[in-house]
Formats: sequence, C-alpha cells, structure tokens
Amino acid sequence: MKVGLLHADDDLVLDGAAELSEHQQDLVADLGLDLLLEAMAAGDDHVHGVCTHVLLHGLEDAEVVTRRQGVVADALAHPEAVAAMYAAIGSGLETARRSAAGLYRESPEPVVRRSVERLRVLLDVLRRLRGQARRVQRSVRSRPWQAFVEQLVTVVDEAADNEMESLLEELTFPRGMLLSARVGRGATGVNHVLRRPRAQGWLSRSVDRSGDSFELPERDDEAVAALGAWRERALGPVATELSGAADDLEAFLRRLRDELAFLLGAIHLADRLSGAGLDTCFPEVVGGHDPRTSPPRWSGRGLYDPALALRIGAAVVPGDLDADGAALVVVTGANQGGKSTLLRAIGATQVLAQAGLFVPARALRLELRPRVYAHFGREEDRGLTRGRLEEELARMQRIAERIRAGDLLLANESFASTNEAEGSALAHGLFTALADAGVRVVVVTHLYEFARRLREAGRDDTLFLRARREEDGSRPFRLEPGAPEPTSYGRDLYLDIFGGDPDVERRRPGPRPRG
Amino acid sequence: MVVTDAGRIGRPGGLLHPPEGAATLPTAADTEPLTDQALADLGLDRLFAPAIEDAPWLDDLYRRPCADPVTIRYRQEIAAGLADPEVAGPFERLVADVRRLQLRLQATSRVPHAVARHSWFLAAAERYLEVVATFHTAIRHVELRAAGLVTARDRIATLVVGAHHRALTEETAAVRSALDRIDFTVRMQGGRVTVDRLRDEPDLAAQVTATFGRFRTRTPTPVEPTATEAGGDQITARILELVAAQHPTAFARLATLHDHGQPLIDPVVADLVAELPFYLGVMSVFRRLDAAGLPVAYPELVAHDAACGAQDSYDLAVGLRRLSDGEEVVANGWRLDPPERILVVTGANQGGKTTFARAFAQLHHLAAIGLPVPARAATVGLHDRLRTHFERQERMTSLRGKLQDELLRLHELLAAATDASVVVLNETFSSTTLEDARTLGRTFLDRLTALGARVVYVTFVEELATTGGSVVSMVAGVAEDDPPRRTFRIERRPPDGLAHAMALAERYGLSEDALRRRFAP
Repeated sequence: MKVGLLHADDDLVLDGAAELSEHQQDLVADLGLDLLLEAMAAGDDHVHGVCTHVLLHGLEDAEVVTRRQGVVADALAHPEAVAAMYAAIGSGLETARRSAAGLYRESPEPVVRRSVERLRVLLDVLRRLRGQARRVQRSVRSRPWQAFVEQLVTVVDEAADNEMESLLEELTFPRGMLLSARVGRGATGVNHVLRRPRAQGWLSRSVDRSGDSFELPERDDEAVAALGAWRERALGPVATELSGAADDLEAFLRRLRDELAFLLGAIHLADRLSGAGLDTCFPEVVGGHDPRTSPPRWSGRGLYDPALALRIGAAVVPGDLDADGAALVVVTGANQGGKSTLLRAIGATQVLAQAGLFVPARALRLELRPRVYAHFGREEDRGLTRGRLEEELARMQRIAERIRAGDLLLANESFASTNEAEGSALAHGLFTALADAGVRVVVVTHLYEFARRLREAGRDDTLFLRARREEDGSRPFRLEPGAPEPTSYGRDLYLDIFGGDPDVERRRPGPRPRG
Repeated sequence: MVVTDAGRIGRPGGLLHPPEGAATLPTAADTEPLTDQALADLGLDRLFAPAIEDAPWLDDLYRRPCADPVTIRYRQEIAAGLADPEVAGPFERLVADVRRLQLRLQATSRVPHAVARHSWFLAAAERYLEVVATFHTAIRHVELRAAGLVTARDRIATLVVGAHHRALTEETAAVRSALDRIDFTVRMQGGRVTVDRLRDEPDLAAQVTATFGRFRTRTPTPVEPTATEAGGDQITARILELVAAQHPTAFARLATLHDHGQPLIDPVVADLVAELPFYLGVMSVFRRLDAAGLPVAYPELVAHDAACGAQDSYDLAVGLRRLSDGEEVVANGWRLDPPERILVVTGANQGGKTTFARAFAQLHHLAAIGLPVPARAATVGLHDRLRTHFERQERMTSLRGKLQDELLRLHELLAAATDASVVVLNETFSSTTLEDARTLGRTFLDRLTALGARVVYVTFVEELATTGGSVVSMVAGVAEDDPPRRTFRIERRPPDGLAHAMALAERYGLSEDALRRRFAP
C-alpha cells in the first residue's frame, strides 16, 4: 500500500532526518525557521521532525508543487479528520510496538503469536482510518486525497476484514496443529507444511481418530523441545508471511503518520498566522527551466517575514518585491531599514513555497530553486579579526562546494569581518561568479565599494534595492530600487546609541554594526 | 577429532613416502624431532597448528627432519603441485567434505532408534557419493605432475568404476526415490501426537499468503527456526517409526542399504584425507606469500658437510605480517663454503638479528621435511637434529641462577649435537658481564667448531666474529635513510666497531652533547 499524499511516486522517506547538515542548521537559524517549526509542531516532537525534514528538502518541479498545494489545501479544509487519523495511528503504533518488543531473531512460534497480536491492533487502526476516510470521501478535492481515501475504503473492505480476523483466530491454534512432511535426508523430516485440519462432519467437536498416535512423555523437556522443532519448521513460512505483513502494514501506517504530521504542521501554522490577522496565499510557482537561459522570477505583494510575524503578530509591516529578471539582488542602505527582514522573508517564502505550503504574502509568483543556502555574518567568534574571516571563508567554501546553478544564496553582510577593500574584492569576485553560473543571489551588504563596482559594470541582471531613510530621520521598513550610497546610516545609529564616532572605532579591527 | 587408523598413515606409496623410498627410510634413532620450545622459537608452531589440531598423527611428521633426499624430493613435488590453487582446490574440498562426513557418521552410529539411524545413513551415503563424484570430476582434467598426486587420482578413478561403488550409487538412489513418495501428517493436540498419511488437508500457509499478501510491499526477511537441527531425539525417532510402520516396503529396503553399506568411506579416500592435511594448510600460506610478491623456493638438498646457502631468505612470521598489515620484509642471503660452518651475527639492536637466526632455522627444518622455504633460492644440507637456544624470559631472579641455567642447557645441547646438526644460538650470555660473555662465548665457539655443526650465533660481543677459520661475520647495519627504518639488512662483512653505535645515539638525540644540552640548567 502507498500513501502518496506528499509525493506521487514515493512515500516520504525520513532517513537521516534527525541529522541536519551544517548548512541546513545555518539555514534554520538564519532564516528563523526554528520559530516556524515550533509553530508547526505545536509541542509534538514527531511533527517537528517531519516538518523540518520536508521544509529542508524542497520540491524541484512546479507541477509537483502545485499537486502538493492541492493536498495541503484539502488538509486545511479538513483539520479534524487529519488530526483524528494522526492520533489513531499514533496510539495504535504504540500498542503494536509493545507486542513487537523483542521480536528480533526470534523463532517462528513466538513470531507467529506476536504477529497475530500486532496484526489485530494494526487492523483496528486501519478500521478507524477507514471510518475517517468515509467521512471526507465526498468533500476532498485533490486527486491524491481522493486516491488515498479510495484505497483506504477498498483495500480492506468488511468482507476482507472478517476473513483476516477469522484467519488470525485460526492461527492461535485453539484445537491443535496439523502439519505434513516427508522423510527427507537424514531423520529430521523435510517440506514441513502447516495444514488446515479436515472438516469433521456434523459432529464438528469430535476428535479425528484416524492414524497412529502416542502420548508425549510427562515432564520431558527434551520431548517438548523436539516436537517444538517440528512445529517451528512448519511455522517458518507462516511466521515470515505474517510478520512481513505486519511489518509492511506498520511501515505503511508510519509513512502515513509522517505525511499526516506534515499536514498537521501546515494546519497549525495556518492557524497561527491567520490568528494574527495576516494574509497567506498559495504562490504561483514556475520552474523546470534552465536557470541560465530562463529569466529569474520573483515578485509579490504584501510579503512579510513569518518568523518576525510569529513573534510580534500584526505589527509586522508587509512589503512588495519586484525582482523579475534579477539574478543578483543587492540590498544596501540604512541600518534598521529592514534589509535583513527582507532577506529572511525572501528565504522563508522560498522554503515554504517549495514544500508546497502557503506563503507569507498576499500574492506571489516565483521560480523554484533546488536548494537554498544562507551565509549570514556570525555574532559569535568575535575574537581575532583574522580568525573570523577564516571562519567566514570556510563556511563559504563549504557552500561553494555544494551550490549548483538554479540554487538560491542569501548573503547577509558577508566578509564584513575584514576591511572594505578586501571585503569588496572578495564579494565582487564571488557573487558575480555565482550569478554568472546561474545561482540566484541576494546580498545585503555594507560594502559600498563592492556595490559601486557592480553598479558601474552595468549588468542588466542586477537589481539594487536601498533601505530608504526619510529626511526627517524616521525609518519606515521600506526598500525601494535605488543606487548604493557611499554612507550607510549606521553612523547615525552609532552616534545615537553609543554617543561616539564610529569612524574612529572602525579603525580598530572588529565587526561593523549591522542592520 | 576424527578417529583414523593412524597405522596406515605414511605408508610407502602414499602422499608422504615414495613407493621406492622405503629402503632408505631413516629409523627414528637417526633423527630427532623438534621440541615444543624449538617450534615456538622458530615460529613454526602456528604454521603447523591448524593441521595438527585436525590430524594429530601429523605431529611427528612435522617435527622430525627426514634424512632421505628421495622422500624429500617426492614431497617437494607434491607440495609444488598443490601450490597451484587449481590443483589444491579439489583436494582441499575433498578433505573438508570427508571430514564433515566422518563426524556425521560417528554421530549417526550412536543414534539408538533404527529407523532414524538408517535414515541418517542414507543421507550420509548420498553425501559421500556426491563428494567423491565432485572430486573425481574436478581432478580429472587438472594437469598433475607429482607422482604422488597422480597415484592418488588413479586410485579414485579405479574406485568409482568399481562394482561396489556402482551398486551403492544405484541402491541409494532407489531407496531415496521410494522414501520421497511418502507424504505423512503429524497432528499435535495437547500431549497427543498422531501420525497419518496426507490426504487432502489444505495448505494453511498458502492461505495466509493469499489473505495478508495485500499489505506486502517488499520481500520479508525469512523467520528461520532457531532450534538446532532436529534429529537424534526420541520424538522424531518415534514419529519416523510410525511412518515406517505405515510404509513397510520402503523402509525394509532402507535397512538393507544400511546393513550392507558398511564401512561407507573407502580406505582409498580415507587415506588420502588423512595424509593431505600435511600439505594443504602450509601450502595455502605459501600461496598467499607468493601472491604478495614474496619469493618461495623448493631447495636443493645436499650432504650435511657440503657448501650451502640461501638467497633472499626471510622470516615466515614477518612475511605473514606483511600479508596482514603490510610490514616491510627484508630478505637476506648467506653462504657457508667449507671450511665455514658458523655465522656470527652482530650489529644494531632492534630487529634483523633474531629474525635472521629464525629464518636460517626455518629454512633448514622446512627443507628437511619436504616443504618449500621462504627464500628465493636455497641449497640446504641434510641434518639430523635442530637445536635452538633463545634467551628465555624466566622468573629467574639472580643473574647467577640465570647463567647457570643457560650453561646447563648449552651443555645438554652440545652433548646431543653431531656434525650433521643445526644449532641456533640467540643472544647467548646476554645477561652476564661482557667479560664473562667474551670468555664463555669464545670457549663455546671453539667447541662448536670442533664439532663441525652448522651454527648461527647471534651476539653483542663483536670479537667473536673475528675468529676466522670456520666463522663468518654477518653484520646488521642501519639503513641509511632518515628517519631510520625499523628493518635492517644483514651483510657479510667485518663488525662495525663503535661508529655505528654513535651514529644511532646522535640520531635519537642520545649523544653526550645532546644529553648535556638537554640537562643544562
């Protein structure tokens, strides 16, 4: 049986989901995905784990995204059914796990006994899922949900259910066991086959009297073990079949539970965001083209940083993005001007969209990117200047080793740990090379020299955004297209907060103030 | 362990002695077997142990040098034949298969219930015929040069076309096919076990597959019975007795097969399986050395007082470590041209010298029992006994006690040695004073010279190497590269004197200057 909700071909595979790679950890921390994941989990560790995995393994095909958007929309429309199925599987698996304990490398007889117990529990879960499936059968709209519901209702119907229950009862051998065999090589017997005793006519309770028999000697452990060996041979194939069926059914339920966990996470997140009065929408995704020949697409209305929204609610100020055609987006301008917020909004939106989820925006159209990487300046390691730059370069090296055409790189104040000339040269070479290789790059930077050189190069795939500062000094969270300016507004803030001149401080090695 | 008629082992015409060699067979008084201690000193105990464990009658053959060159040549040819894995393969399989079968037959003969015993015997007979046929087929087209191996093959070929073997083959097949037609059922209900003919009871396992197959997405891991193979137990025997009673004709024929088929394993096969292990384990080791690029030689045997020597001889234990962890093997050559009889080995500590002495002794012993040697080429004189004297790590507390023990052992050694003996002395007198070691060593060398035995004498007393006459000086030198390798080449030249020791001290930062600087305030 297949779940087929999140993927058309393969069910969700969570291998290695527990271990996040280094860049995945960076991405979670830098984009504030941890807050999103907490909201999705709503206290359930399993939901947290599954959602982390799905968010970090984005889809790479626009049609697949559209398919999953339909599945998520159905889940949002039937939250009680999703929650009830998830809970039913959870408690059933817990009970089955108790009967399965110690199953490893046991002999056929106890395996049959335990497998009968496990199958009874799992069939009961299946029965409850079937009940839920019947309730939503007419109202789900997406094709994957319809197919899934159809499968639950038909694979095990009432007749099959009864047949299984009676066979499981027969396998507890309430009236003894019959097997057939041949002499074989040696004196062990071979070809042991478990048999169903013949019907015994109208007197069904009478004992079959044919054949020659003997009584097992009393309290003879050796005799009991020897007879057990005969039974085990006949039960081997049955044990294999039954435990295989129980394993596969349980595996199906586990996969279903994983997929439901993701959908439950989506329901939780939607509740939180709409509870705060914020808009969400399913984005229009385009993709599947060669990133070097197809023009970049990312434009939207009412974008906001979902992590910030979860923290401060309706106080978040949405903004617009018009970056179609830009392979390289360079954001400069005033501190506290919303530059990092914009970067996080872009990153989170991309991640959510590629998981087939709704996005924090009123409307959005974007292209798919196989992977999203983040390179944010680090607060820690504020030790030697040299050491910090090396740390940054090492991180960037790991990214550069993995990143491919079509991927998205979000860089926040990269190379701010060295002086402007060095940092600019590094940034210019690196980011233009990546952009030319087909990587989509968004750079937030204070490195004016870098921005200026880029501007003078006159590349038509580069978009410059500037955090604007109103003349009266108040700073709305607005970013508009605009050429980089030689002074950022950090100096103002520095003077405000520290009461000293940052130009004097800046001559010392150390980090720059960041937006 | 398999009980074998040990009296048959080593008969002329087998794999260990040539048919015509009987006349020159040495008597036990001529030669002396290696002691446990000597085997351990030479590092040969581990080479022979696996074979001896399975075939204890080989123990004396491995220990006792053979004084007959014809026999040694005969064995060398067989060993050389078995060095080829295509030749060795069928022989190795035969030994393994027949051994397993012998153990099974022993167990079978102890089964108390006749029906079970007969049934086990049938299985053993089938296996025996299979094993012989497999060997016969496998060996038929292999090119054999060694006379001993050709004889063995011819005997098997004669065996399989013999009347007895063919009758056994036919009757075994007939009884099996009769038994295979019997399908019986066993019903277990409480403590009652009922045996009957199979009628039309449906297959319940198939029903389970049909019903629960719908959940299956992959091939399940088979659940195997954990109980050890059933067999000698009473219950199985009683079940089979009931089956036998319900099918008297087939089981009567089985009983006849059992009674007329004894002994199952023909002496031709049994003898082959008893003697082959002398070569098989050892040759698999030499095959691996050869595959690792190390030389293996079949030495030429000469009279005990003739010129002898070896090229690129190495210690077997070091060669084996190369196989396991890639350790570098340093091979050395040596020569003894009359009147030379004694190699005195001096030079750098740590490696080389003991290994050289061990390789010298291994070479002589392996050559004398008809096996190949770890060297590129060798000419080896026959010997009557090989005595070793390695420094012992004993709980002897006083130096006097230790020296006394050493002298007692040397006295016994000298008394036993003849001019045809090989003596290996490793770091003798190392626990006494230099003066004692010099005096005792010189005295002892004189006596060995007078005796005329072949000797390797490893010592730190360099003067002993300059005696001349029958003494050849061999020196372990330091490799010239930096840092120094742990292995040393041993060359025929006068001893180094102190220069070499100074160089080593400098390199390890232990020269006087270095030590002064280090401890300067």
